[in-house]
This record gives sequence, structure tokens and C-alpha cells, in this order.
Amino acid sequence: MTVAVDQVAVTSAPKPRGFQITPGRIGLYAFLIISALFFLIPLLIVFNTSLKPMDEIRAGDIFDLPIDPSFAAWAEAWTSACTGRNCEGIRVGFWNSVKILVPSVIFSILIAAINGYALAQWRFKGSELILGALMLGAFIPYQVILYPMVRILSTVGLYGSLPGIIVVHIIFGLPVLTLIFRNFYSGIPIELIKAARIDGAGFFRIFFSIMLPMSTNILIVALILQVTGIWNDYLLGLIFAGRENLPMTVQLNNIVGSVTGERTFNVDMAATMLTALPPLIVYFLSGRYFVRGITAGAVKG
Amino acid sequence: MVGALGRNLTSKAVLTPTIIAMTVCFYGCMAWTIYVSFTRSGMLPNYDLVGLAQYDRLWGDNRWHVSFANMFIFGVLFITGALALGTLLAVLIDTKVRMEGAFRTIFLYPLSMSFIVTGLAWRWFLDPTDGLQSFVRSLGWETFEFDWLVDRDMAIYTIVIAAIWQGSGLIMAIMLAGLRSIDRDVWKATKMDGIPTWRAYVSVILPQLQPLVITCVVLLAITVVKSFDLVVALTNGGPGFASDLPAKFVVDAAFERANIGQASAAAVMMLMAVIAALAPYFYLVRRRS
Amino acid sequence: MTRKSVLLGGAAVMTALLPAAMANAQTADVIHWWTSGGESRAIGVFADAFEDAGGTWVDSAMVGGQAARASAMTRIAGGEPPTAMQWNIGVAVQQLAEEGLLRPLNDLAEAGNWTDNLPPLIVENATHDGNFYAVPVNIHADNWMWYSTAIFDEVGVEPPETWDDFFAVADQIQAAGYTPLALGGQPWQESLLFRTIIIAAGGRDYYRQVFVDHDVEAAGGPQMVEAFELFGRLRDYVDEGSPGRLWNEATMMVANNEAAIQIMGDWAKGEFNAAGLVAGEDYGCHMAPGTRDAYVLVVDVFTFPVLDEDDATAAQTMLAEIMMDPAHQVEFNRHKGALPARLDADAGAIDACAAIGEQIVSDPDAQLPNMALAFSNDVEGQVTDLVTEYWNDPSMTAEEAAERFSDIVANADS
Repeated sequence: MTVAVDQVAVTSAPKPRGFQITPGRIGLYAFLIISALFFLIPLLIVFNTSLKPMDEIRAGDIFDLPIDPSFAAWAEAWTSACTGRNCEGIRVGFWNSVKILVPSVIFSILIAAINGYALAQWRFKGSELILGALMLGAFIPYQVILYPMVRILSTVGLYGSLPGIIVVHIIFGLPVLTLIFRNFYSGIPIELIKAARIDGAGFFRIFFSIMLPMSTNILIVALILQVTGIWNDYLLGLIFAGRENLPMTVQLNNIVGSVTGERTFNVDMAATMLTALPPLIVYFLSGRYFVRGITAGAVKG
Repeated sequence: MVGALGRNLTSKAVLTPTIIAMTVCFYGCMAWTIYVSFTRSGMLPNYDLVGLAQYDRLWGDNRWHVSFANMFIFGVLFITGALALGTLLAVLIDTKVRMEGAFRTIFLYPLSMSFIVTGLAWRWFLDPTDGLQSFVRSLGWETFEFDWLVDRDMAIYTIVIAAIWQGSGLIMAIMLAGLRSIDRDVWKATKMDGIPTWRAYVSVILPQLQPLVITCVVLLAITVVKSFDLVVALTNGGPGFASDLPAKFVVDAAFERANIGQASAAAVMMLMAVIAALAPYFYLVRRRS
Repeated sequence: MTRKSVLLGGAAVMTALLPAAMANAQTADVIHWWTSGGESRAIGVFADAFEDAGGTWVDSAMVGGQAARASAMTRIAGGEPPTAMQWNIGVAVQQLAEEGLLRPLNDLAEAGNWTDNLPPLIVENATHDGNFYAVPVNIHADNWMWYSTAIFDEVGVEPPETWDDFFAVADQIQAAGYTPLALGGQPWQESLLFRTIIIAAGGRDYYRQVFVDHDVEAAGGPQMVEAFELFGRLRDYVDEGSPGRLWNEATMMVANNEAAIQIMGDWAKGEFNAAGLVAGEDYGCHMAPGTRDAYVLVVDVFTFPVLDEDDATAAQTMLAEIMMDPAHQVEFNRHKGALPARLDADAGAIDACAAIGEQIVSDPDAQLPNMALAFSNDVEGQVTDLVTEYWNDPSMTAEEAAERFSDIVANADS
């Protein structure tokens, strides 16, 4: 799987030469534009609605542009949207997600990179088995593991804590990440490592001063995979994070699900936009690496 | 070869924690769940074996039947839909269109969003009283109907639509990369033989991309089995439990209904479904190597 | 120290040295599912009282009873139980107690003489093997009907007494362009509606046969078939926005005169009150059709998981005493729309609806168990699944549904 995935790199097409208007071309563009609308409309409507006050939402319909666009609902969603008696806004979830994200990403990538390197180096009878076990581990549905995992974390006293959810993310991220790094390091010429060994460099010396600096590309891929994956996680956060550390996705669903009096669509949608923004920004910044990151991660779970 | 041994020792030392964590957390937990599915566990785990009683009850439960069937409906439609749309978009984009970058960006951005956000966005868009249906009616088409979200028979298809929206960009990107990697000589050959472009795609180019198609199918199949968030945000399994999926069934059984036995049995069925989906893939990989 | 002496110690501190206990900031992490407007105000009474006493209230509100119970069970499994968790009194609480997950409250119960101050039915269900495990805070009933007086006046109809009346009234309301029945199409709401119809179709003795005696034959009998038939006919009187709607959104439809009737427990009253509407004027209340002689009890309780830390146990004690305080119960239930669980809590001037309720519930024969009192969460889930499947699948016959109901009851106690 990952072998195939590594091939994915979208190269740009040569610039179109000339331009002929034929019925075929018109049909082609029409289809592309309709498809583009299909992909754009749901999010645009969420965005559009988040800019309207409630009376405009009640009076008009979803495609009406805001008469007097304002980010008031965004401010409310950020600072004072409620679930139950907690009215501190979705920023609580945002910061929780950040607190979960940063250590989870750093540790999972570091551990996976070292493991991947060790696996790439270490050829022995059992290494195939380990690879197979890792691969299969990447495909086990979380549902099979959830309940016993709760018990395990409870036994070691980590359940419902920030370290607990971080450990869960690291463990669930390991199989795929390790395979990605292992495949990458397997492709590095053995001569390079041999030379370093002759110079007396040890395992970690070689890893940190030779391998890691060569790994920028694969690190970016892993980073994108982990940042979007962990930010967008719902299930693990719901089960393992504990009430103090609920990530933004879980809080979003709680805010949208609870209604006191009238449903405030604008605030709900502003909260949705706020939750969608961080991975969207990653997407726009990461360009061609994005597909590789996501593809590598789609096998997770 | 003392040096080699030493190196291997470091490698072993480095890998040991991971191997232990994997063994305990993945395979240990899996074994536990499989074992518990054969016990009389209820609110709390209980280790009295009762044979297949949990599976008997599970397969006598209509909600499970609906969930399990939905997984196949969702799976087949989502995989073919995303594959078809993604491939079509890749082929069209590959015909040297203008603003290729813009189109690619638009088709791909939903991929960055969580299933919770995807589900909520589509829930509002498809809501019969506030969304698309009411908009079209307000334009004057009073009899327009698009109420799949609240229609027991159609709710599962809203999940298919939202999932295709989220996932077909990925297929487009993978297939586009594949198309761009096709040797130019292949195209020249088809041109010389006078084969029309569309036929060249169907009978020459796309067959060459078969390994990529398999990759795509596996990626999409995994999405199907793990779809939990999307259902929770879009329909919450409703109306009734018409759009329930096994991933949600298991979580509900384990935590909401406090029935560990049923949850474990259902989780084992999910595991078997994943294995069934992966088996052909591993078979192909093995045969090729 | 043994656990028991810790508990007794905690209680002694609370009763003898209350000001000293207040000095120590106690933290109470409370799981509940009170997130609507009226409910938020109600739980706020306890929260404020707890904070006034020097504690810190950590609100773990979940949307919907099922989500709240799921959260509680997950945290118990994870060894991080909350300080207190809301539950509906009944079989589930008994099971939790049986599994040793709940703290016995006998010390508090004896000191506060709970047995004499609570209705016998509640005492019976809040105790297990002679130990108190739950603090009851209110008495709700499932089988209420709320209606828009504006729509009823405009159409010129009276609150229906029977389901036949209902269909006649609903047809007129529909002809006038209103949604007759405001239903939140969530399984638990459909199930609540259906259970009130069972009483109407079979009478309260029949209801007892099914829900108290778990009589398999009765559960598949002609009364059940009739109930399912009546229930199925209601599909024509519900608007298409129903699926997934929250109960309080449905209540607001009646409050805003968009829909005429909602069948819902009297927590709906808290929602009308929160919207500033007056019972008997802006909205009307009545028992659900055919259930004038029945009061399907729903009792919210708080249970207290066994906790190791002294501080947490002291917080539980403090919380339990605040919740059992008659004055707090009156204030709480003023927002909640329910009757206080305590017999000695004098509600003072009560509204038109509460007056109806008090009169009916005073007859012990009228008191019927709700779902939680009748079955475990697991069986309740199966019944709810069946009811929602029937509601959403017009091709299922009432006979088939009744037969499956009887199957569930047959396996309920195994």
C-alpha cells in the first residue's frame, strides 16, 4: 500500500497550447464547473450563514447573501457558545485540541522515525512478522480495541487525562507512521550508513546526524498526516480525553447538539467554520504534500 | 561481527517498547474483545463462557441487520461513486484545462475537513425545512422534494453523498498522478492507430492504472468500515436507526446501552468485514511479488 | 481507614462542622443531561447552592440521557467516575448498586430521615438491599399533553380526552394549516409517545401487566396491537422536519403556535416557563388522551460513584445534602416543571398544571412505572429500537410489532 502511495505526486500538466471552442470543450468545462459547485456549496453555505444575524436567517433562505455581514456569530462561537452551563465558547476545545495535537504529533513522528529506521536496518527472521503485524494493526477498527483500551489506561492511571489521550494518539498512529518511515529509510543507499559506521558512529548518531536531515520530505508527509488526522479525530477524543480535555470536534458536536430556547444557526455554523479552519490552512499551505500525507493516513483506523 | 550484533541490539532495544505496545494494545485488546464476545458480559465484563449466545442475539437484532446491511449499501455506492467521480475528474483535468490548479484545489479541499464538519455542513444543506428543498420551493417550484435526510429509505444515501464529497478528491489526485506518469509513447501509439481519445482511456490507459485503482478501493473500503463520526454528525443513525452503521452500533452498545457482550460480538463482526475487504488486496499483492 | 469510616467521617464533618467543610473548596464534577433552557436554570439552583457553600461545580452536561449515561459508564470503566451522575430511577440504578459501583448513602438517609420524607415507591426504588443509593430530586410524569391555546381557540376545539377525539381535533387543526402534533423524531421521544398510547389502549392495569409483571402474553396481546395501530396513525399528523428534532425544539413549536400539541413529560413546562409563557393562558396542559387516571412516574435521581479520595467523598456528601434540601427542591422544580420528590417540600402556590398533577399522583393506583423503572437500559434500548423501527417503517404491521414486543419482554429477565 505505502509503496503505491509513495508514487503519488501530482506533477503539473504542460501549459495548454491554444484554445479551441468546441462543443466538447464547453461540455467539459460545464461538467468541471458543476463539480466545483458541488464541492464548494456546502461549505460556502455554512460560511454564508455564519455571517448573518438570526432574523435574516429566519426570514431568508440559505443562498441569500448576508445583508449586513458580520463576524458577530464567530465572536460568540469563540467566546460564549454554550453546552449546558459551560458558556466559554469553542475556544476551550480549540486549545484542548492544540494541547493534544502538539505533543502527539512530535512524539509519534519521532518514535515512528526511529522505529522505521531500526526496522529498515534490522533484517532478521522475525522482521517480516513485525512488518506484517504493524500493517495489520493499521487496519484494525478502533471499535475492536476501544473498551479494553479504556481498561488498560485506567489501570495505569492515565484514563481521562491529557497524557492519556496523547498516548492513545501515539499508539494508534504508530503502525502507519512506522511503515512510512521504514519504507523511506529502506530506500536510502546502504553505503552511506556503512561509511558512517566505519567512522564509528552509533545508531542514534547516524539517525540524528545523517538520516533525519535527509528526511525532510517524508517528515512533511508525516506531519500533515498527523496534524490533520489528530485534529479531525472525534471518536478517540470522545472516549479517552476526559471532560477537561475534550477536543474541538467533540465540543463542536456538543454545542450544535444542545439548544436552549431557539437554535442559533449562525453561532453553530461559525463554530463549525472555526473547527474546519486549522486543517484547511494546513491544506492550503502544504500544497502537493497534502495528498501524500492524507493517502498515507487513510489506512489508519 | 560483534559490530553487527551491537547494532541489532540497539535496534532491538529501540523497537521493543513499540512491539510491546503493539502487542498489548492492538493484539491483546483484540484477543480480549474476541474472548469477551463469547461470554455473558453485560454492564461489566464477565468471563463466563456462553458459546455463541451473544452472536445469536446480535443476529436476531433488527438494528444490527440494518447496520450491517447499511455498511454494504454505503460501501458499494461510496466506493463506486467516489472512484467514478474521482477518475472522471482526473481524466477531465488531464485534458489540459485552464485553471487546472484552481479546480484541483476545489476538488481536494473537503479532504482536509473532519467528518464531523462534513456531516454538519451536509446536514444543514439537506435539511428539508431550512436547506436546499425549502430554497428550491421558495424559487417557485412548490412540489420540489428532496427530503432524504428525514426519509427512512433514503437517509443512508445522504451519508453516501457526503462521503463522496469528502473522498473523491483523493481519488482524483491519485488517478491524476497515475495519468501523468503514463509514458507519452503510449499516447503517441494510440494517436497513430487512430483510436479516439475516450476509447484510449477506457481500453488502454485506465487498465494500466489498475494497481492505483486497487489502492483507491482499499483506502475507500477502510473509510467505510470506520465511518462513525460522519453518521453521528449527519443523521445520528436516524430516522429511527435507518442509517445506523456497525461502527456506531458498537460504540452505542458498549457505552450507551452498557452491554459489553453485544458490543464485543458486533466489533468482531466488523473485524471480519475488514479482513474480508483486505483479503483480495493481500492476495493480489502476494501474487504479484 | 476503611471506606466505611471515611464515609462516616465525611458525614460527621458535614453535619457537625458544616462551616469547616465549606472552608475546604470541594469540587463536584456532575454528569447530567439538562441542557435545555428550563433545565439549565433548574440545575443552576443546585450548582449555585453548591458554589455558595464554597464548592466548585464542574458541569459535565451531555445532550440527551443516552449520551450522559454513555459518558458516565465510560468514565466508570476508565476508573475516573464523576462525583455525581444523573439517572432515571429504576432498574439501571439497581444494577449499578448491585455491581458495587455506587456509594451507599445510609448515613445521610438516616440523619435526614429520607424514608419518611419520600413517597414509598421512590424509597423502594432508590434502595437496594436496604441501602440508599440515590438522591431523588423530582417527580415528573411522561404522559402529559401540551397544547397551544391560540391554535385551539382559533380552530375552536377542546383538548382531546381520547385518541378518537384526538384524531378529530387533529384533522381540524391540520385543515387550518397547522402541524397537529409536534414530535421530536428521536427514538426516546417516539417511545415516550407510544407508551402513553399503551395506557390509553389497554388501561393502567394492562400497562402494569406488561411493565411491572413483564407478562409475555399480555405484551403481545390485542391491546398492544391496538396501541401500535393508533401510534401508526399519528404518522400523518407530524411535520417532515420531525426526525432528529430535540424535545425542547418541539416544545418551542407549540410555544410559538406553529404546532398544536406535544405529548411530552412535564419538563416541557420548564421550557414554556423559560420562554415567559403562563400555564393555562399561553399554553394549556392536560393528561395525554386516555390517561386521565394515570401518572407515569419519571424520577430524576443523582447517584454517587464510589470514590477513593476523602475530598471527593465530602463533595458528594455536600451535594447530596443540597439536593435533598426541601427549599432547594422547591426552587429547582419551579424551573424544572416537576413536583419535588420530598413530601415535605411545600411548593406553595402551584400553577394550573401542577395542580392537575398533584391530584392524580395522590392516588397510588395511578402511579405507573416509566421505562427506566420497568426495564434495564439494555431492554429499554431494545424496546426503543422496536418502537422507532415501527414508527419509521409503515410496512411493519401492528401485529408483527406486538409480537416482537412480546419477544423482548420474554427475554427481558433472562
